[in-house]
Amino acid sequence: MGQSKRYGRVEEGGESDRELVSRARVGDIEALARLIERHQDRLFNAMYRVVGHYEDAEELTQEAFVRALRGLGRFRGSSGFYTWLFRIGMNLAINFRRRSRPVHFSALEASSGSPGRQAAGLMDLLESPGAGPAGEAALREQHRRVLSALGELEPASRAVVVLRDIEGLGYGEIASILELPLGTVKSRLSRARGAIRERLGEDGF
Amino acid sequence: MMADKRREKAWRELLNSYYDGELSAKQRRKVEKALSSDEDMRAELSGLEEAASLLGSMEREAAPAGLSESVMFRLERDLILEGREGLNESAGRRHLFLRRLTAAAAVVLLTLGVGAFVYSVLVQPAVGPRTPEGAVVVDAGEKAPGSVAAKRAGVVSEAADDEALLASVEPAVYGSVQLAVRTEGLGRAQLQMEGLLDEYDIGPVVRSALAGSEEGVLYGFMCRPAALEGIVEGLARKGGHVDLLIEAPDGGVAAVSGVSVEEVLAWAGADEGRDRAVLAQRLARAAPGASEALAAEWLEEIAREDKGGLPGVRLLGPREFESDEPVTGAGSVAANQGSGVGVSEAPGAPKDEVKPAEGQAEVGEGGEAKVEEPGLVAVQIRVVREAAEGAGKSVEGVLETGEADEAEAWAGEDGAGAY
Repeated sequence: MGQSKRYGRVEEGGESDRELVSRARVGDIEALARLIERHQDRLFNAMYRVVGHYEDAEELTQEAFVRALRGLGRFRGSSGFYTWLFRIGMNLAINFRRRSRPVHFSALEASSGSPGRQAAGLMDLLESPGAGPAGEAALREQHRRVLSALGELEPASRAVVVLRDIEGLGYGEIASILELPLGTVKSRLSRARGAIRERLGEDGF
Repeated sequence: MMADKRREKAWRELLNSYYDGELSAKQRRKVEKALSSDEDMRAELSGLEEAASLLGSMEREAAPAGLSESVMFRLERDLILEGREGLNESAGRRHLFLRRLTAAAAVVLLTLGVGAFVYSVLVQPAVGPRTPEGAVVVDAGEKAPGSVAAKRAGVVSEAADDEALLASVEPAVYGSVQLAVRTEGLGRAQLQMEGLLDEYDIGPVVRSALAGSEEGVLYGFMCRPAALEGIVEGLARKGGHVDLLIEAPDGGVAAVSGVSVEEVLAWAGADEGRDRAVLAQRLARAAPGASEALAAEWLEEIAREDKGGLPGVRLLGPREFESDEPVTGAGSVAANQGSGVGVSEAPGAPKDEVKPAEGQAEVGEGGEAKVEEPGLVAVQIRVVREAAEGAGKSVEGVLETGEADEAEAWAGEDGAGAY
């Protein structure tokens, strides 16, 4: 059974997003900063996996925060702040890729040529106890292929997979973020995973 | 066939939902029953699990360092630019430097939340009457001691309360800047200051303990505008709020903190005389001795494209700060002839750019230094310890300093909230 990864919405310090948003609305800069700090890693990671390019993801994440925080006056709180933030971010990411170049995911090397940012985490994984050189190479190859398969999906489908399999969100949250009917989330996720599996199978995975 | 495809699709979705734990108990039992008797379905589930878990095993990517600061900077910049463009596009360009300072202020508040930077552009340094906000105000006609010029003369002093030294030189008349850093963490602020001085290769520097009841250090030095901008932004990144205002070039005048650039921009865009009067009154209150009419003149000056029309008041604008080119008509900085100490080289400036001031001789190290160094800015930075309570009060955001209607005016036209 799949496991959802959950990342708290009320972090250490106990102040909820709702409280921070209330403070931010009246110009509390510290509250703004805390909202950013609280959500930046999650949002960036999701954006990065959808757009497949580190610098683009950074730019889009910034843009998402700017739009969300500037729009606090319009935020009615019917959904959580993070849902609202992710909605803005995913829209930006999906639209960005639609009008941009094809996605080329890099599993091991960053464009800088130094050990990749993504690769750094992956290498940690590979260096975990029990993973010998052969295992490392195999896992590395698997990650490269699955990322490549992810990159071939339509952006909207990719977003569903990222939110579910990488961010660990539930179907309801994904539906809310992407503003899709629940049934569409299910069918899109099923189809996208099927496409990924098919692609991996073609590669002899 | 079609029915088979629909059925297959439905089962796949069900299987995905099962894997994701999104089924009701009844649905789950139904799937588990099917799985127990259908090998293909078990293979399907296995493949699904493999791909999904592979994606899930990817290491999470942390946000790039500095992302939150960049966001805050963009927020501030966008609001400032929008507000400015809505009011006066050309004037917006004109005050780019001021906007940068203000934008940097937000970052400071963000990072430490305890520091307060009061940035005012004055001739007069650390002495003189103070506004309720702690800004220094110089009465018209009063001569500024000019500790900056002491540095200009090459004096490097670690002595405390060296007022005689500081007062012994003529005031700098070009690009004088005063910056007060108020913080609970005095030691940390000093370290930051020293680091920035090193980073921008500033020297010599006058360091002197603050006189009076304030605890802290006064730094005086000369530098290029670009270096000043970097130092201010560097300080701002680490903790404070920058206000700013007016430069008075002729040893006269005054000017003050306590009124932010944003408020001035909002003021310039206000249609109602009543709205304009509010800010002018505040500025006048912040600068004892200044009439409301004079304050209104200052504000007009700030908002105007041509800033040459107001005698005695000059803004520290982009012409000086966005270029290292000498500014025509800039005054010279006179060194202290009586001190007998002097270094005449401009920090960061090629020697061949350093020219003698009018009517004064150029002298090298150890001699009497009198030079004209257009393009340099005389800077004083006071790093002051401030109690937590006081610091908290002074770390008000830009919008919090004004009345509600002013804040709303600044919030933008798109209802984006009161950020």
